[in-house]
Amino acid sequence: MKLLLVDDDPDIRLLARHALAQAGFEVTVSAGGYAAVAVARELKPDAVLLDLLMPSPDGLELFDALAADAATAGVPVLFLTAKTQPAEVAALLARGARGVIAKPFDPLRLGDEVRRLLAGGARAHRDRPPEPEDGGELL
Amino acid sequence: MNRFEAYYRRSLKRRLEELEALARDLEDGVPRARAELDEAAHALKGSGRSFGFDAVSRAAEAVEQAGEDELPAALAALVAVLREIAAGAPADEAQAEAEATR
Repeated sequence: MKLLLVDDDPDIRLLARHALAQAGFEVTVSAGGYAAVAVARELKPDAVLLDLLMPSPDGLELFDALAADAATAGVPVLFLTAKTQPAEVAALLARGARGVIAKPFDPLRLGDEVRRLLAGGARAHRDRPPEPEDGGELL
Repeated sequence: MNRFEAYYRRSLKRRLEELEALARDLEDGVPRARAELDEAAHALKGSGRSFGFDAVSRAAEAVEQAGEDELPAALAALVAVLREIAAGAPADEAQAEAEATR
């Protein structure tokens, strides 16, 4: 499963990339900016992990840009953020995020958390036929 | 994840320099110093525990949440934690330092 990780913090990019790769994901990283949207268009990831607080464009602006682009609009987005008050999380979910992962995350559990959140969304769409390019990999 | 501890320790040295510069800016009344300090603290809060340095996340969160009166002490505590780690203290000693300064 291909993931695009977008975070302006090089420490987080290094650790999360390693943790997710160890968990079996194919991870591409981006330091942010609208270049991240171009990467997503090219990569066609199965999900985007998006930092919330970044220099402009921040995570919400990138989320909107991904949603506005036909090539990336259907890609589930998981926010990765240290802003995890219930109201903040609820606002992100209401906006259309598939899930929210709290920072600081446990690197040993990050992969499971990503799978859990993506599977939760997939259950809501279980009546859909599997995508042919899916490769049969289960969430 | 111990293999990343040395990497993060080096990263914290750079962040310590940034924080010390921001602390001087704050004293000098530089506009946006507080906002930049909050951004730096937010990043440290979000990464410290993931790398095994819980004390960094906790001290950084205290800075982020500090009112104007509490900020100098919270900032001094965060700087102390980062200095301990930069000086080579293992994660658990930095933790003890943070608890001693709370």
